Parts: sequence; structure tokens; C-alpha cells
Amino acid sequence: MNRHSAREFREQSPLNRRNFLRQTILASVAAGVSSGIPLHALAMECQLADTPRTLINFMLKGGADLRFLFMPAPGHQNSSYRDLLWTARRSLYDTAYANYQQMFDNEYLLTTDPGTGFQFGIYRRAAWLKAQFEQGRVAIVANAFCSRNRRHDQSVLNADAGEPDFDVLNIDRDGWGGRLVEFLGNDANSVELGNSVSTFNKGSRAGARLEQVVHAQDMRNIALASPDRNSPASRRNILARALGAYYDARGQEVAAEKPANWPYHAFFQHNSALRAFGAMVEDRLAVCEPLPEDLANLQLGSAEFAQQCRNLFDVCQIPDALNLGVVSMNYDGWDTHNNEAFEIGGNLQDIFDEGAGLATTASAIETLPFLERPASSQLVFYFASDFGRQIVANGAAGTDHGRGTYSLLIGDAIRGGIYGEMFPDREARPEQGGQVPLQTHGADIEGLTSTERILEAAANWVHPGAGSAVFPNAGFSGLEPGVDFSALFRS
Amino acid sequence: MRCCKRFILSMSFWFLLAISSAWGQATQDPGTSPDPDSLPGRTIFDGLETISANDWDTAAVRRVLQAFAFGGHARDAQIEAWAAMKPNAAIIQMLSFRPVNRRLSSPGHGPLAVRCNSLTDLQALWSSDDPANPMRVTDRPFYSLLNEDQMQLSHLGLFLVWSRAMHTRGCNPFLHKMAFYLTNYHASIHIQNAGVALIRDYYDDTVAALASGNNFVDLMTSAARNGALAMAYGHFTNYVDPRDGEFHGNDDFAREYFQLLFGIQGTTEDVDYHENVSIDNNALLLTGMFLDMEPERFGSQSRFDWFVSPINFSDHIDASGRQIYNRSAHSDFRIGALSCLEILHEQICGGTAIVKLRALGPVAAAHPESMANTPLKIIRFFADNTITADEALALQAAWGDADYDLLKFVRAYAVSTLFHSPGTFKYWSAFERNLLIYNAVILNNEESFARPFFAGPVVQMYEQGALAFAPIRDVFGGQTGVDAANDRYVFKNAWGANVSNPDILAAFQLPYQLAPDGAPKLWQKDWGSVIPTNANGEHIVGEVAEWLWNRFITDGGENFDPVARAQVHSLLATGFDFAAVVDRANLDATFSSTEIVEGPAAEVNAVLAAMAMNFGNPDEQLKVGMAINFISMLPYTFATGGAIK
Repeated sequence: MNRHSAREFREQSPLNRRNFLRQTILASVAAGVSSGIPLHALAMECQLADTPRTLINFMLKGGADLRFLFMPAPGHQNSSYRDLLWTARRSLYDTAYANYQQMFDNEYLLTTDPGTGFQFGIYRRAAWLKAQFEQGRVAIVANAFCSRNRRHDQSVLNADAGEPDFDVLNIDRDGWGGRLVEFLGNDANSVELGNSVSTFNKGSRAGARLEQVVHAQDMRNIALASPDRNSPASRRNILARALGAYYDARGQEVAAEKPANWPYHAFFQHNSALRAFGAMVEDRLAVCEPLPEDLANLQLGSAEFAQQCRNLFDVCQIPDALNLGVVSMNYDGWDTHNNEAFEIGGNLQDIFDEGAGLATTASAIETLPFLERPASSQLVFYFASDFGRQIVANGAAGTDHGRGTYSLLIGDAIRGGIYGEMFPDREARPEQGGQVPLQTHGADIEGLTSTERILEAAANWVHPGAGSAVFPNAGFSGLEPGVDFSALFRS
Repeated sequence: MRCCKRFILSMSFWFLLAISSAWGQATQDPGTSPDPDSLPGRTIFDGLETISANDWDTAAVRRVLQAFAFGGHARDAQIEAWAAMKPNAAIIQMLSFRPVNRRLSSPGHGPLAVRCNSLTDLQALWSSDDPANPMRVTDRPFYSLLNEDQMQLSHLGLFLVWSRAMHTRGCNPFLHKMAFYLTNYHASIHIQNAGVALIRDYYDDTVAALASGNNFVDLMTSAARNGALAMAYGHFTNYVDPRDGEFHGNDDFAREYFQLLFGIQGTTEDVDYHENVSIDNNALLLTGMFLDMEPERFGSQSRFDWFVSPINFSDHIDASGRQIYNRSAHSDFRIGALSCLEILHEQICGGTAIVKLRALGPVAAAHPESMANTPLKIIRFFADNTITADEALALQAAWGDADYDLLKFVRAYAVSTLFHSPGTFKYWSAFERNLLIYNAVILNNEESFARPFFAGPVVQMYEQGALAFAPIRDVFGGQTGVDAANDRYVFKNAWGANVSNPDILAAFQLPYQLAPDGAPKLWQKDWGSVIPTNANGEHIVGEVAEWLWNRFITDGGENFDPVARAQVHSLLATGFDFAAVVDRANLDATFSSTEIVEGPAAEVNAVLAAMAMNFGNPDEQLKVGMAINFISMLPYTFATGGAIK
């Protein structure tokens, strides 16, 4: 009791006690609050831990036209298909191109599937992706679908939920990342590296959907401002203590007193996560590798994506601290109704070019020390988007909302190659009614393979048995004839 | 007729009430009818049951102001006066679309009020040397319309002006919150896609349309014809070649017109019909919408800034000398008014896009999906994140009764038992939370303008992911309350704002000048001017604490628990946290509710609560500021209401 003993306090009458207290309080404040608390300094070394098998859900927000990323080689066996495709999409490219060959030579890199020898083009500004494909680390799943509609909000929700047929626009629900970490155990976390926590991360318990989510928007600045110990009487420290004491005391009480649907639980959870967990993360990282120069100075069109790349590197330094289960990343700006080549070209370069986001991050992660398994071997990127886009260009040098698309998976664990018919001949043939899709405004890539099938295999790679638990409908969902994902992963 | 039987009855009842009372406040005579609408003491207003006079108190009034007007700027006496009125009468005074609502936000004297319905005018005034400009001199350049270094329109000026307008007395915060909803959430676009001039025009046009009494259909038609949307979605270059009738353009807005403006997702339509008839034909409708240019508009050298709205739908030569073919670039222009497109199963006819848009608006608004979704979208934004199926039915019926009158609908909801129920719950976005806090902190316009922009809410909002005219989901709108609640960095940055920079909210004096060579002025805070004294003419800590809690958190003290009280008492009485007062050798001590109610800490708390404050001492102003920093970082400023349903 402020330099006075409890006994001294108790021995006084209530009235006297109050006068006594009043004087003591004022004297105390006048004298100021002294320091004397030992500095919190722990000598630590970077604690090595292997990264577990980790899926990184990479959302391309806006509905990416991945048909732009991949185009047939000029020598494509079905020349009719190639010609119709060129006619359907030539307005996306520089009008100066005289023919498909000229366009292809300028815009695409001739790429060979190492398994089959099939040749096609990958957009020139995605040179890292081409190299990864030719090294057998990229799976391209053609004719995939993650939703049945063309609406951004509903389709993103479908993709995040991992349920193409979910038709209710309700974001208060679980995502497939949340379900996967729940399967992995109560300690596992879904780690969001972007600016906002997506539905993908959310768990299945209403009112506690963020319980197994770590929001790591900036891994090196993740803790709450706390008392700095040097000047305990500063207003900063007074407020930090007052708020900290409040959240500590009431946090325990409301956890016991209030019903699960009490909405303010979320903020007590934020406090405890950021204070205890955030401080620990910052302490751990402080004694680990600094950000490599290339990564620290990474300059991309999207500053947010560059920060996500830095976050991913740091995540791989302390996977045990995060109880890493799955990771969520995103890149915005794929709704390319107008001037698609300009918009999508920059995006693809940011993510997939040599020296750009993923290449720099992957190189940096390869340098990390490890115990038994390098982190670089434990990560698999899965690329999702709202939907694909229509296969015929619109009249504004862009493409409008479609449905079917390509799914991409990248990682050492991936058995690379093309799964499904990459450039379906049917798009160049008359359908019932006589219309040829590549000559029909509004035609889609036909979605044949549900992303549930792909993700089921991916979840099973993370942990045997996870696939059917996280994607219970996968076994009944669409699968393109001839496609088999049983060997999509190497082990 | 969209209404179900219950609402036909309700309407009839309301009509009778309207006859018996100018405000429709009469209480029905107790009877035996099983109809719940006719139970004793209940009144019906546009399909929603009105809160009883007994439940309509100052907390209810504050709850309305928080949800619909960023807290408003009304003084306590006005709030008490509204609480003493019948709710249906009070709400008409509280929520109006008049540019100036003196009861809600009194502009005081001067020319400010007449300009407050236009961000363009506000920027022009606040960046000027006009003697009537109340802005501190050092801040004026930041509000300039033009970035003179780059000779193009200033993004910063626009970001700053909206935020400051929301805490300026005289700018009707309900009108502006509705305009903000419509332009940044409902029919949202992003500044990077529309440019500064067009998006500001869009906002100003929306404010003007609301102030003119436009209904929802008119507002959506105005949005659909607005140059800012045409630029952002890219359909300003859509055209039908008159030579061959070929369409050139995209179908982006053709789809989002239905989904975003009217809530029609097409789920009740045949998919092929919706995709291939309604959307495709709407893309044809949205042709001939080129924007005029006005060279060097606002002095900008950037051609992107020269675009003007509204669109002139004729064939003409614009101010820049360009030939604009908005009539002949429109679908089927050769047959003029006979040109029709089938959309939503109706023939939409007209010789230009605007004629067809005027015809399509009522059809879209009356579509069952629009009638079902639009009211829910509005109420989710303003007031309730979790609407149950039964509540949805009531809202949908009320929307039908309102006949697209947005003001009538919102007023009815704001005094309804639906809103004033324990189950109503809403997370605040960082826009809302920070404006609620600053509107409670700032006591008058001298303070508002004496504060540099960085001592206002705009920086906090930005750091917490909320920037006006830069919605995080682009056309799907800005940060929602749910977004903010789910984002730990919003919490972290809010914490950082209060803990690392407590002097911003706690500022109690600031020097400023109103002219470069003018006399220096000193703004000084006087909490004593608004915090009531007790019967003895004293400001007692415990009473001041209660007053502050009710000012910042409108829960009637429900969550003002002993732990919070102890900290607020301590900060008000001493400027120190409770642990420092109890035992400065143990600054990390925490005290449970039980410890504060019983035992030695309880005595300390009681003494602190009983201490008198002397607002003549500037230190006391600072102590109030410290208490505000504490209160405004508690969970109860991130949300309002009782439970997630």
C-alpha cells in the first residue's frame, strides 16, 4: 500500500482511512512514481525449428484471367483452336502484332512440360514460374472451378470456404484453412499475412472463429505498445499499465461470466494474443536472421504483397512459435474488364517474375538454417481466385467475369505437370445449338474439376486423412475425365 | 402490392394513428385483439413497432446518434430534450437530410453552414485566405484543391476534408453518413479508378440529391448516370458502332448495377436469362456515356482531372473541343425513343442511356431481390450486424411501406423496438469508432479547427485501415465493422494511438493563427463547461466518470464494471493508473472486480471516486483526457449492443 503497510491501513477507522488514503494518494502522485523495476532483458539465441508441411493459400482477388498467363504454342497441334483463340483474344494485345506468332514471340516464353514434352507459352513476365514449371515444381490444373457463379463476393466466399456450391452470402462461416488447422489440433494456427483476415482462416466455432488465427500483417511489429520501464510516470506508461491491468483482470472475468456469443470477447482475445504472443514473436525474431537485403528492399507494384513476402520469410524462421498450420496470402487487382494486358501484366510480374516477389522470397527461405528439413521443401503454394474469366475478350481490351479457370500449385513436393486438357478442343467446336465457344460472347472455360478435389489431395499431403475431413464433399465433386490427383504430391 | 396482410393492417393502423396525432404518437386503446400490433402501449410507424416512451431515454437518443450520425454534435440539453419528446417526433428533428440541422450540429455563426453540403466548397474555403476561414493557417495548404507541386488535383485534400467535415459543427453528420454509405459502401468506387474530381463530385452530387429529397430509386439512377461510376467501371467508353451495330465495351457495371446498386444477384432469375439477357442488354444500355472534359478544371494540368460529371447524353462538342457522340453511340440510336432493350423481363425504352436508366431504375428497385436485400444492406451498415430471419421480414416489409423513401425508412427503424433491443449489435468500422470518439472529445468548432489535421481522427482512421474514397473492397465497399473487429492490427493500432500518443485525445490547449500575420490565438479546453456539476456545484470524480462513460459509450453504464471504474477514477483524480496509486512499488498489479468492490483497494477506489475536481486547473483537463484515452480503448468502443444473435 504505497509505502504503508496493510496493517497500518487496516488499523485506521474507515473515515480516517479515507483521509489517510487521500493524503497518501496525493503525496504519492506529487512525488512521482519511481522506477526500480528491472529491465526485461533476456539473452536468447535463434531457436531452430523445422517448418511443418504447410499450404499457402494465395488468393488472386478480382477473378484472375489465367488464360492470359498460358497460351498455346504457335505450333499447337490444333491450329484451328489456336487461330480461333487468337481471333477471340487479339484485342487484349498490342494492335501492332501482325499475327499470333509475332505476339507469342514478344509476350510469351515457350515452355516445355518435362513429363510429356507438351509445349505452350507462359507469359514472359512470369519467368520464374516458367523455370519452376520446367523443373517439375508446378502443377497446372486446367478446367478447374471454385464457384458456380460470376459474382465476386459470393465466389470469393466459395473459394475461401472450399465449397463451390455454397450459395449463401454469409461470411460468418468457416474457411477451409480454418477447418484444416482444427483438424491439425487445437494448437495449430492459420496465419494471415495480408492486411485483413479472410474467411479462409476462420474456424468452425461461431463466436470463436478467430481462435486459431494469427494475423501477421507485419511480423516484426506484432506486439502491443507496452510500458517501456524507463519512465514509469510518463503518460504513455500510465495508460499502458491502466489498459493492460484492465484487460488482464476483466479478460479472466468475462471469459467465465459472459456467454460465448458476447461480442466483446473478440477484443479481449485480441489483447491477449497481441500482448503475450506478439511480444514473444518479436523477441524470437529479434535474435534470428535479419531480413535478407533483397527481401528488405523488395520493391514491387504492390507494397502490401512485398510485405507479405517478408512476413513469409519470418514465418519460416519461427514456425514453432506460430504453431504453423496454413498460411494465407493475397494479391489484389485482377478484375480486368479494361486494358487487361497492362493490369494483369504488372500483377503477374510482381508475383512470378525472376527477381520479383515469390522468387526473392523463395531464395531467401532457402538460406534459412534447419534441423532436418529445409523450410523451402515444406511449403506448397496454392493459387486461388474468385473465378476465371470469359474466353472471348470484351470490347474494352479486357475480359468479363467467367467461371472456369486454372488452379496452380507450386512447391518442391508437387509432382509438376498439366492436369486436364490445357487448351480444350471443345472450345473450338460447335456446341449444342451450333455456337462455337471461342466465337461466342460470354463463353467460359468449362469448369470440370472442382477445387475440392485438388485441395483434398493437398490437405492429405499436410496430414493423412485431413482431406476428407476438411472437404467432405470432395469425393462427389467434379473431376475432369482422365485426371487423377493421387500422385499430385511426391510424398 | 408487396406487403403481406400483417403490414396492410399495420399501414391501416398507422393511418388511423396519423389522423389522431400529428406525429402518429397516439397509443392505441387497450383492447382484446390478438394482433400484436394492437397491444396496449404500442405504436406503429411504417411497419416497425415504435419504442415506448418509457424506453425512449437519453441512452436511446445517444444510441441513435451513434449509429446514424457519428454520434452527432448535440449538447446534453438537446439530448435530454429529445429524450423527453415522443420518439416519432424526436427522430424527425434528429435525423434529417437538410444540409444544416442546428439541433444535431449547430454551426454557430458565420458562413460555414452554407458551404457544408459540398466537399469542393469546403476545400475551397478551408484552403483559402478568406477572412471567414476558421482553419488554422498552418493547415490550410493541406486542404488545397490543387497540388501545386504537381499541378494536379490533391488526393490529400480530399482525404482530409471529409474527415474534418465529420467533426465540424454545422455539417449535418447524418446527411454525410448517408452520403458516405452510398458512395463508399453501397454504390462504391475507388479514387484510384475515378480520380479526385469525379469522386468528389459524386459525393457532392449525392449529398445534394439527399438534401433535395430524392428517393432511393432516384439516388441509384443518379449514381448509375454519374461520371465517376462510368469512369471507375470503364463503361464511359462503351459504345455501339452506328455503322454495324457492334457493341464495344465491357459488362462490368452492367452486372454490378443489379448486384450493388439494387441488390439483385440473379439468384431468383434463370441464370442464362440473367447473364445473357439482362446483363448483356444492360451493357448495351450503358452505351453513349462519354464524359465531357473541361480543360484546366480547378487549375489542374492533368487531363484526368478534366473530366466532368454529370454526363451530357447528347451529341455535342465539349468544352475541350472534342466531339462527343453520346446519342449516336447509344444502342439502336437510329430509332431513337423507340429503341428498347429487354431487361429484367421488361422493355426498357429510350433514345439515350439516361432515358433508359430512368426507366430501368423503378423496375430494378421493385425486383423481389432488391426489395429483400436493400433494406438489410442499409441496416447492416448503420446499425445491426446480425439480422435474424424474423427481423429481416420486418425490415423488408418496412422498406415496402417506405416506398423507397430512405429517410422515412431509417427514421422508422431508428425509433423501432427492432433497433432498441438487447439483441441489436454492431461492430464499428474504424471510420465510425474514431469519429464517435472525436465527436465526443471535440467540444466546439474552435477546437475542431485549432487541431492540426494530424490531431484529428483522419490519421487514426488511416492507420486502422479506413480511408474515405479508398474502399478496401473497391466497388464492394469500405472497411466494415466486422472487418475491423476481425483485424487484430486495427486493435493494435488503436491501442498504439491512445497509448503512444495520449496527448492527441488529451489535448487541452493549442496555439493557432487565423492569418499568417494575424495575432496568435490560444484554444483552451474547458471540460467544466459541459460536464454538469452536482447539487453542491461540485465536479466529483465518480460523477464525472459516469458522465464520460455515457458520453463515449452509450450502454447506460452496463459495462462500466468495477475494474474500469477504478481506473477511470484514478486517472481523473490523480492522472495515474490505479496500481500506481495503490502501491507504486508494484506497478504491474492487477485488481479483480472483487478486489475493487471489497478490501483495501475498494477503499482506495471509494476515496478516488469522492474526490472533487477543479476544472479551473489546466491539469484537470489533462486528467479528463487521460481518462478518455483509457475509456476509448476499451472493448465497448469497438462495438455497440448486447449479443451476437
